[in-house]
Amino acid sequence: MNVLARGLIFAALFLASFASAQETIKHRETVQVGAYQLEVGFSQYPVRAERSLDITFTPVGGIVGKSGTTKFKLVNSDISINQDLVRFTKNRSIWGYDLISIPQKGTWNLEFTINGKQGKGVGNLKLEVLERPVGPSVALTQPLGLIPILAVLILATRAWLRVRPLRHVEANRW
Amino acid sequence: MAASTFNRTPISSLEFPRFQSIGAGLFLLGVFATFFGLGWDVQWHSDVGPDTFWTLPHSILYFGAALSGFACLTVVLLGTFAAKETRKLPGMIPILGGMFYAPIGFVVGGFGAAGFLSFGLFDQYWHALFGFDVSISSPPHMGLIFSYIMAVSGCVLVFVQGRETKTAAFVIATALALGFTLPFVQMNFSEFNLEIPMFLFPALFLPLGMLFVASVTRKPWMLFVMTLVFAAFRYLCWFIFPLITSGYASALGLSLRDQPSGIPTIPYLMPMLLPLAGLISSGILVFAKSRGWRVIPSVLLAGGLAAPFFYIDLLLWQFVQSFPTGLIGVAFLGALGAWLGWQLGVVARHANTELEQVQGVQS
Repeated sequence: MNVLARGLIFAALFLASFASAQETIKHRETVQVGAYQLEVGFSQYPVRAERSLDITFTPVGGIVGKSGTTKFKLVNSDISINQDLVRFTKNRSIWGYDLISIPQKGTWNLEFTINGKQGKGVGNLKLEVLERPVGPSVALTQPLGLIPILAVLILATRAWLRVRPLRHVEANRW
Repeated sequence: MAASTFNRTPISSLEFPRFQSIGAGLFLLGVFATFFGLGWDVQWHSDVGPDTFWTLPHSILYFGAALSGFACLTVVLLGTFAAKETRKLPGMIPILGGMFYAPIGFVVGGFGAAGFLSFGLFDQYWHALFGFDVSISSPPHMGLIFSYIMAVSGCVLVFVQGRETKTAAFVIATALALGFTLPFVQMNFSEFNLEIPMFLFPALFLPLGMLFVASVTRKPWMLFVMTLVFAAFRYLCWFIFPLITSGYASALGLSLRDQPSGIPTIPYLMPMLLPLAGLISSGILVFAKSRGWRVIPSVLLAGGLAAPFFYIDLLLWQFVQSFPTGLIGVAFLGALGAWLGWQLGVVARHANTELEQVQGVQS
């Protein structure tokens, strides 16, 4: 029974890793973008580098008749990500980015530009991005992914050497 | 080394056993399902987005890997049973010091499929830590891609048994191997650098696959047929992926992104005029053979002259425009790929010494 219970707990934890895409917004910030008030939502908070999340953008009065862009810039660096504000795939009545990640930790400046009936507005939000989640480093785990191709190359090389005398003959015949 | 003598009489006793033929068919179906599922999954990410493990493309690609693994395992077990209970068939190699016996293709394919499923679990762990796919070049994705290359390499080999070849299935499997390897390796490495994978990989991999087919089958026109099959896969995916992506999205009550790529990603990375290059390559080989030209220089010519034609393509042309002299390097790489492919074809035909003896080749 104990084994069964442990098995069930393990199975539940395992299946929980197949998480649903419907992440909920955990944190909201309000930004004044010219004449427009914009609510920015984060599905993960605090935000960590390399950890994917959804970011939603909800202007007061809705998105109809408005368009805009974002510029995410790591302060004191050349790193910036520029994108248009597009409808959120999980809620078409607001703007949003699904499954994006911020590549580096540090202070990021999120600049918003919105165009609408009340003209063009620009606003900024400072975002502190923390260290990437604790987990195996890419440098350590990347070689794991190379094992299958190394196996193929070793096998091909072994066969290549084994056939050598015959290969010289056969490779020169039609 | 003494000169080799060749007895080219076909050996009818080398017909594939029935279980091996059925296993090979299921294996091919499995790798096709995985290719199809992976290509559709990429399209899904690019055009719709919301991801869970339980999407239809994921189900198809993991079903394909499971089917491939099941087919390989079954053939290994039946091959072992046959070897131990009745007689060891030529072409079966010992595994783990003779604990199992099976044809090499099923062994390689079985490990590839097992690797794919294992890296699939690793991918779930990665998603739990870092969230759903943002990068295609994550360590588990690299493992998935390289495991699939291993599986599809095994699938190509199951249709080659010494000098006996199941030509049609072999040609389809090779086209599938190229149709997967090129786009996915390009996508993987393009996250680090865009120009090098775009210039280097088509020029190297495509002639390798093309001349491999000519070398294994010893029928130069089969090279052209393989490029036609490759093109058939490409155009099938080009039309089907966007259709099923939007259909599946609407069935789930989702709609396409505001700014979808508008381009079927995987087929976009498969050069559209490969059959033109295939025709040129095959033509050179047929002409050279009829004139009795030396083989290796003709092979180099067949690869080197064909490779620049890959770049008359929706995607690759822009790289040629920005760096036209790169085509000279492309021709050299094409010749190198062709040489490698031709030699590997010989290796695939003659690597099994037992088959060599049965088929009447002594070296």
